[in-house]
Amino acid sequence: MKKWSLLALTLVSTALMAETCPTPQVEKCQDSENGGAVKERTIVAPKAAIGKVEPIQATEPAKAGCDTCTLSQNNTIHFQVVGQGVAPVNTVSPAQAMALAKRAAIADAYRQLGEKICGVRVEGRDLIRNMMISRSTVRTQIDAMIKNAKILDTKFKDGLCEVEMEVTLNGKEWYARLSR
Amino acid sequence: MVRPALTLTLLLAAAVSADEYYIYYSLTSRDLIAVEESLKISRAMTPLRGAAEPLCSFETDEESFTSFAAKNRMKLAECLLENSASIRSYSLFSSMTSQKKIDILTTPVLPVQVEFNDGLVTIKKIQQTDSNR
Repeated sequence: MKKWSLLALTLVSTALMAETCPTPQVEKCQDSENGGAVKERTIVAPKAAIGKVEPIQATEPAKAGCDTCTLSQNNTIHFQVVGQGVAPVNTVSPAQAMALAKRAAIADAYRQLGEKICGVRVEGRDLIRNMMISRSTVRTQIDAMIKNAKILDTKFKDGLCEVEMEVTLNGKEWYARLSR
Repeated sequence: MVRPALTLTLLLAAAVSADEYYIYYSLTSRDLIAVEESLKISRAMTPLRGAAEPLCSFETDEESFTSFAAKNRMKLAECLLENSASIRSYSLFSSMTSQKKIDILTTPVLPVQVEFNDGLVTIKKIQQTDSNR
């Protein structure tokens, strides 16, 4: 009986040791200085101590998984932008001004969508004269084709028109094309 | 017997008349102000062959597509842009200050079939393949 209890105690202590002591990881690296001799390093990674788990106070709404932020082959993501347009000064009527502001806002929204989906080409030029920058210019260019973009909302306020626009990208169709 | 049948045929033909057009829309805005807009409509000179896919429909009192387009330019433009839009944008920043921003929004030339039926205009996109052009 005494033998069995001793054996049980030994087994329990071994199990506890195995839990607390991490398994050493052996890393092999080639030493280029000593004629390519293989060196072995033993790394013992201590297990992170798990303390009391406290709930994190969320300061912003939790994102609905990373599936919605990055395009993959299996998900669908929505690009939402707000385009802005200004009414010209020399218009015949307020209605015409609003219509023109809306058109400009639509163009701006499409530009933003193109910027997000297809990217921007940036070209910078600095002219240095007498060890000083005399002129610095940055040119950006966007060239994109967008299909099935939908206008969600249109707002007018103080001569400014805001158009909310959305486009949906299906990963099954677009992931391969955009990841090139 | 012949006269009623003929009248019915004529009435049906008048009620559902499908015409074919090519439409193109372009909008240029400079520094967030629309400066130029053009909507070009041309009747197809040869019959367009291909599958017609409904694009959009509007209620109207107009009799012809050109008069409808002239009065509802924005509605038509939104419909065309939703189908497909090409955007080209050029910005210039000099000494960390925005100098110029030009956005050019265009739609590709789109072959459409337009149907007027009982106060409703239906615009259908004709999908032309290389074989039926």
